[in-house]
Amino acid sequence: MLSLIIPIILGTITGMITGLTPGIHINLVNVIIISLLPFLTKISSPLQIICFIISMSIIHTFLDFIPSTFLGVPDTETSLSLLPMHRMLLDGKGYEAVLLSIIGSLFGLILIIILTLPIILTLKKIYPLIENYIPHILLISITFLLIREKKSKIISLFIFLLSGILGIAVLNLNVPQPLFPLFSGLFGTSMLIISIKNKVKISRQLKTFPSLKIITTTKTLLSGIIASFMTGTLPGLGATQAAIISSSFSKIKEKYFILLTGAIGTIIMYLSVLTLFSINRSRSGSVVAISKIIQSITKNDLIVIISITLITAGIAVILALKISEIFSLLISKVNYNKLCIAIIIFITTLVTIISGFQGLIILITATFIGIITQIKEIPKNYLMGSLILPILLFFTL
Amino acid sequence: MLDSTLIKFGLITSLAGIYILLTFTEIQAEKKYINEITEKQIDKRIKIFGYVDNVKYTDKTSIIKVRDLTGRMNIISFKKISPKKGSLLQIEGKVAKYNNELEILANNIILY
Repeated sequence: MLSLIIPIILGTITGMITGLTPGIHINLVNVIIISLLPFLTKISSPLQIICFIISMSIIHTFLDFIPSTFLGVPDTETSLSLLPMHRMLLDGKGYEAVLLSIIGSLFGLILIIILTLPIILTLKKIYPLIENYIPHILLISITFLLIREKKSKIISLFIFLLSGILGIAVLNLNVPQPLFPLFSGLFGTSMLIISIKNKVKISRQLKTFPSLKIITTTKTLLSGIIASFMTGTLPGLGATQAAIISSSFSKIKEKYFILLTGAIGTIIMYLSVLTLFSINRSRSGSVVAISKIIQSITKNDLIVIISITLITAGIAVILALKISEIFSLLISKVNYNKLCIAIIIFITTLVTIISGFQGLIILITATFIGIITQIKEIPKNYLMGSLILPILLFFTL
Repeated sequence: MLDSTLIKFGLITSLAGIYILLTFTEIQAEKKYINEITEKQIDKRIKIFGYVDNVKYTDKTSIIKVRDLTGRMNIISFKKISPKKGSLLQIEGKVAKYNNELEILANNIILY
């Protein structure tokens, strides 16, 4: 136990940095871990490195809602495409929005840990049957998302194809960390530029608390688990798709949608560990790193991972609450436009350092596509075409 | 739901994690010499250091015969690996018995 305390502390600190800094993803740390493995395995045991990765990943999934709620806020005019969290922030309820996502993350995680055994059995039985049909399932999922789109089906399809073509180009370029400038542009800098253009001002934040019904919460979390299971075990699909599929099971209220998105991020992270354990497939950057460290996950490793997940989830709850309290106090006091400019400069510098000049071009192109999506009020999940289209081509060609 | 209630749930979750970790897991593999490995260790996690004698391959496994100062033992890896004869390995894995012989099902192999 004592030998795992230091990795948990280091993982918590790293998860805080990646979770709270816009544009920095845990996969960046995972790549560094993989490149340092020959050295790391000499100074620490494989289990200690895995503990570090798990702690970092769990803390990250709990905290990453804080910067997206408080820092990436488009104007109310584009509210149709806004995530409900941003709307709550503009209403002065940013703290409550984060609280909802924490509730989702914690209870979603507890629920999926309880369901570990049936999920492992299902994965072992079902995955070999669907493995060959992955492109078909992806196509059905995309069609499903497009059919559900109430307006601008053609523009949505155009955005999907445009981001898909960019994704194909980016993944075929020899650029270090290609997904970093791609996603920073599609989802980060584009939103910040729109915020600057619209001169968004944040109203004073109030400390309000949500009232939730236990039955509805449980139903929402279970639908999140089912959708995460559908998307988390397939390459290319992720948290956003799971949230859309899950919310389409039944009409859910805005606050339960936030709860759902909070739950799904954490559920998918845990599910990717189960995917590695039961069918030996890596479906997240953290699990790819784990698979490089150990040859296979034993039952003992899995129980250690479950324990570390629970321990860090508790730490993450306290951290997320305290940090979002500080954010809600500060956010209405700072000049939001200047803050957005500072974040854009930070991301651009980081992209140039990590991915070089080509990375900068990717960032600019992706930013423009992200801006078009916002101006046309198209939901951002269509930007995931940047990953789905290359995967479809990989399986079909 | 109040934040104080959520903090309580968070603390209970962490405590549950600590309890599971202390009760149901073996965190550190015990370091052993080959002649110290007996049937008592079957299904236990252990760690040994040894030099490669030879490597054989089946469809899904690599079977590495290693030796230390005290004896020899087969290491079964479910990944194809090809260490050179005489190279030093650190092996972590579970002790198992196959055809009346003890062997280690490797979970992690580090080549020095």
